[in-house]
Amino acid sequence: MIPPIVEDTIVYSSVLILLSLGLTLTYMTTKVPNFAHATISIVGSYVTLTVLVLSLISLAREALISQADSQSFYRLIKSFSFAPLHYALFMALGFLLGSLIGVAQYKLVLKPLSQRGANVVQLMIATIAVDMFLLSMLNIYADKLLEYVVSKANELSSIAGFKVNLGVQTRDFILYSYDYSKTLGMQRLVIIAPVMAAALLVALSLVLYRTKLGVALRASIENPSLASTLGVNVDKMYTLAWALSLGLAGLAGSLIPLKYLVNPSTGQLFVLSIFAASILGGLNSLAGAVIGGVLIACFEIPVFNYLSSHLGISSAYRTVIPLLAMALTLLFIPRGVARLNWKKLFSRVRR
Amino acid sequence: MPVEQAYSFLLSILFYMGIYTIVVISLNMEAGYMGLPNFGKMMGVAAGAFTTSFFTWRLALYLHNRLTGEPIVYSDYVRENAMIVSRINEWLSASPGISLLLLLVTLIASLAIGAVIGYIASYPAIRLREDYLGITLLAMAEVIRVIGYNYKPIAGGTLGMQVPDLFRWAGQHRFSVSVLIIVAIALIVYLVYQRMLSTPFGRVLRAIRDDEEAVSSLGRDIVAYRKRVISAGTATAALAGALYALYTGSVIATAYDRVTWTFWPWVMMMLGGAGNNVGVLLGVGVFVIARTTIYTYKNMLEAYIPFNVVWLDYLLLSVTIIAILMLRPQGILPEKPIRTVKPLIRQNEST
Repeated sequence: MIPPIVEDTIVYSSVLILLSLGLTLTYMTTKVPNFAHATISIVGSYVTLTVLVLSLISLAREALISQADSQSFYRLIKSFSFAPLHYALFMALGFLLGSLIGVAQYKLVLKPLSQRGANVVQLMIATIAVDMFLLSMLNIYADKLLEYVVSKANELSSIAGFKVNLGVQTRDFILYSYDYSKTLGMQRLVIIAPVMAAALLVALSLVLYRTKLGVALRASIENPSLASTLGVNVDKMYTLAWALSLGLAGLAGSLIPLKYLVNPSTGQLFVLSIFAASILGGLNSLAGAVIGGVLIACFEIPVFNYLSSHLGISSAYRTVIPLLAMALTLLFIPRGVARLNWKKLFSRVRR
Repeated sequence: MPVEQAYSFLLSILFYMGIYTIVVISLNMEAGYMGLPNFGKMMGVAAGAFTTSFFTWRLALYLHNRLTGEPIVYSDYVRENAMIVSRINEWLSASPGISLLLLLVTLIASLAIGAVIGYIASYPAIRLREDYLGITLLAMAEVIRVIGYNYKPIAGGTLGMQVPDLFRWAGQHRFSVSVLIIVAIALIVYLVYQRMLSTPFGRVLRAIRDDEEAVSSLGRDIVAYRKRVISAGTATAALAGALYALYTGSVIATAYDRVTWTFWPWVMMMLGGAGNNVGVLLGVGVFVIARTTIYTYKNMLEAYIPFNVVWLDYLLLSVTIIAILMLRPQGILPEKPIRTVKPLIRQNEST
C-alpha cells in the first residue's frame, strides 16, 4: 500500500513535469513566457469531464432501456469507472485540443504580433489576453455543459419514471471515484501519470536528439537565422514546438481532475507552480524543466506537509511555496539548476 | 427615481475613474515610461486595502478609547470587528476633524507599506530581464492576496473585515463628499506624476525603456531606477487601494484579483496610449464608462447574450487587448516625442 502523500507527490510531479516541459519549450522558441499555459491544460480537464458526461448518459440510457428500477440504476451509475478506452480517449483528445489551441495561439496571435514588431512585454500581455479569453470560454462551457447535463437528466427521468441524477458537477469537480480501482486498491492514475510522463519524456528526447526533425527543431531554437539559411522552415518548427508543448499541457490537464479539484480558474493558481518549476530549471533547458517539476512537487507536498504538521503553518499557504522557490532561485541561481556548475560547487564545499 | 438613479450612476463612474486614474497613472510610469512589465499591479492596491483593514480601525479604536471616557470592550478583535467598527462609526460621525486626520494617516501608512511591499516583491528579479520580472511580480501579487485571505488579523480571512467610515460626518452627502475627495486626490496624483515625468527623471525612464545599455553607459544606475519606480508605483497604487476600501466600507481579499486590478489597468493604459498621461485619462474614462454601463444594465443585456454576462468582462478584456496590439499598439493618443531646446536653436541658426 502506497501512503497517500507519496501518491500525491508522484501524480503531482508527473503533471508538473509535463506542464513545465511544455512551458519551457515554448519559451525557448518564441522567448515569451506563455501565461495561458495552465488554462490550456484546464481545457484538457474539461475534455475528461465531457467524456465522463457522455459515457454516463449513454450508460444511463442503456440501463433505462433495459427497464432498470431506481435502485439498480443508481448502483450501476455509482459503480461506473473509466475503462482503458476512456483513458486513451480523453488523453488523446486533451492532447489534440491542447495542441490545436497552441497552434492557434502561435499562428493567430504571437506570430502576427512579433511580425509587427511587438516587444516582449506586449507579447506577454497578448498571452494574458489569450488566457482571459480561454478562461471566459471555459466558464461559458461549464455553464452550458451543466445545462446539458440537467436537460439530459430530465429527459431520462421522463423515460425512467423516477428522478434521475447523474451526480455530475461542472465546477469544483473531482473525478476521483471514477478512477479508483478496487483490484489495485488505489487510483489507476498513480500508475498512469508517471508512466505517461516517462514515456512522453523518452519519446520527446528521442525525437529531439535522434531524428532529423529534432535536429531541425533544436537548430531553429539555437540559431533561427542560420537554420533558415540551411533550409529549415523555422516557422514550421516553432509551430510544431507549440503544438507539442500545449498538447502535453492538454494531456496533463486531462489527468488533473482525476485527483484534484478543478474549476475553470484552476489554471490561475496552477500557473505559479509551473512557472516556478520552469524557472527553477532555468527556463532554457528541457532537462531543467523536468528537475524543476520534481523539485517543486517535492517542496509543495512532502516538504510543505512536514512544515505544516510540525510548525503549524496553515495548509492554505501552499501557494507561497512555489513563489519562495522561484524567488530563491532568481536570487541565488538565476540560470537554474540545469546550468549549475556542480564541479565548482562541490570543490567549494570540500574546501 | 430616475434622477437619483442617474446621480448614483454618475457618482459610481466618477468614483471608479478616480480610483483607476491613480492606479493606471502609476502603472504608466512603470510600464509606459520605463517598460517594466508590472503584472502584479494588484499587489499595490491590495497592500493599500490591507493596510486600511489592518491598521485604520485599530488606530481609531485607540483614539476612541483615549478620547472618550467609555472604552470599547472586546475579546476577539477579528470576530467582533463589525460591532467595534459600528461603535467607532457612531463616534466618528460627530467628529469630522478626527475622521480627516485618520484619513490622512491611513493614506500615509498605505503609501509607506506600498513602497516597502513593492521593493520587497520586485527584489528577487530586479536585476533580471523583463520576462522574469513580470512573472515574479505576478506571483508575488498572488501571494499577497493568499496571505490576506488566510491570515485573519489582516482582512478577516474569508469573511472580510469592516473598515471605519471616515466620511460619515457628511451625513446624507457621504457618498458625494467621499467621491469628491477621491477625485481630488486622483487629480493631485495626476498632476504630481505629470510634473515628475516631464523632468529629466521621466526622460531617463524613457531612455531606459528604449536602450538600457546606452543609458547605463552614460552612468545611470538602471537597477536603482527600477527599484525607485516600482516602489513609487506600488505606493501610489496602495493609495487607490486604501481609498477604495474606505469608500466601500469593507475589505475582503477576494475583491483584489488580477483581472480587476492588474489586467484592466493594463488595457486602460494600452488603449489610451502607453507613455502618455493624457492618453491614460482617456483610456480610464472609456473603460470605466463601458464597464459601469455593462454592470448597471446587466439584466437588460442578458436577453441579447447567450451566456452569463459575468464572462463578458473577461471576453471584452481579452478581445480589446488583442485588438489594440494588432491595430494600434501605440494607443489612441501615442506618446509624443520629447521636445528639447537644442534642435530649435539649430533651426534658428540655419534660418
